[in-house]
Amino acid sequence: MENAIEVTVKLFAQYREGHFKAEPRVYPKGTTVEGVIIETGIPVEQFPIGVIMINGRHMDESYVIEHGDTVSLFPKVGGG
Amino acid sequence: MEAKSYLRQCSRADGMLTLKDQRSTAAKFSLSMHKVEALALELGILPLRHQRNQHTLSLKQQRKLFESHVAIIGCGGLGGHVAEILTRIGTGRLSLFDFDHFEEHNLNRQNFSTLASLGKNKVTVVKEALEQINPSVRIEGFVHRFNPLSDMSMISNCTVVIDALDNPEIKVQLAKACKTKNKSFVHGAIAGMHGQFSTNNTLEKLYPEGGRGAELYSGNPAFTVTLAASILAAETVKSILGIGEVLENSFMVTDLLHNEFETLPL
Repeated sequence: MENAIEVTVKLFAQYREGHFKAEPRVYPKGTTVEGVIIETGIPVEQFPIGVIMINGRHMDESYVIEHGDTVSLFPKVGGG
Repeated sequence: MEAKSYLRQCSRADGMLTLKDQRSTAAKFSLSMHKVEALALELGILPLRHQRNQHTLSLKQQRKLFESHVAIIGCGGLGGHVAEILTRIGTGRLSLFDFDHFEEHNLNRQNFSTLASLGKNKVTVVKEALEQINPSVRIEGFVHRFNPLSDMSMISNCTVVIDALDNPEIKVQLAKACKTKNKSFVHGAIAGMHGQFSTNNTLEKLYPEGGRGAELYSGNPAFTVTLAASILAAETVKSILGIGEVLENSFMVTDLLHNEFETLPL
C-alpha cells in the first residue's frame, strides 16, 4: 500500500485490557493520533485520555503520525 | 541540671535515647516531646525509635528530616498512608488538610478508617492516630478544603507539599502554585492497579483537560494506594535530604497488573 505507514502503538494501564501492550500497526498517510485512538478501539469514554507521547515527546490528538513513530497512549489517572 | 546534660546522662552506650527517657526528660523540664527530640538530635543522640532507619539515614539526615515541615493536601487514600510513613520515619512537622469525613466506602483502603472512625473528620482521626505513633511530630490538622488559589499562605512554612488530592483540576492548580512559591511539590495519582508520579513539575501535560480520570471506573484498591503512598514518601524524603534522584522533568507510571515501573520525560 503506497499510502500506508507503519508505526508502533504502545498502550498503558487500562488501555491494555482486551487490547495489547505494544504492536506494530499500519495506517493511511495523514492519520492523526485521534485516528489511531479510534482504530485501536481503546475505551476513551470509560478511561479518558491523559498523556499522548510520540517518540517520547508530549503531543496532542491532532498530531499527524509519520512512518516509524512510536505512539504511546496513557489514560488519565487522577485518584487519591 | 539543664535538659541537655540530663539527656547526655540518659543516652545509652550506643548513643540511643529510649522513649521512657525521652518522656522523663519532657516531664522533668516541662518540654514537649518535639523539643526533647530536637535537643537530642542536636547532641548527636538518636531516639531509639529511629534505630532501624540507620544506615539508610545518618543521624545528620535524621536531624534534617526532623527540621522539615511537610504539607499533605488530602487525607484520603494517599494522604493517610503517606502521613503515617512520614510520621514513622521522623519528619518533624506535618500540616494535614482535608474537609471530608470517613465513610463506609473508604474502608477498603484509607488508613485509620475503622468502624469507630466512620462519620468523623479524616484530619482529626489521622492527627490523633499519628500522635499515638510518634508524639515527637508536630501535627497541625485543618478540616478545610484546600484551595491553591487562595490558601498557599497556610503552608508558607512548609518545605515540601504533597499532592494527595483526588481532583485533577485542583492538582494542576496546586502544582502551579508550588512552582510560583518555589516549593518542592510531590505529585501522585492512582486508578485501579495503576499509579502516576512526578516531583517538582507542573502537571498540565499530565492533565490537558479537567475532569476525573480512570479511577472513576477502576476505583482505588488498597495495594495501589499503599504503593503510591510509599513512592510519595520516598520522593519527599529524597527532596528534603537532597539524595538520590527525584522525578524532576519526568513522570513515572506504575502498573501492578504487569509489574512494570516506567519513567518517561515530562
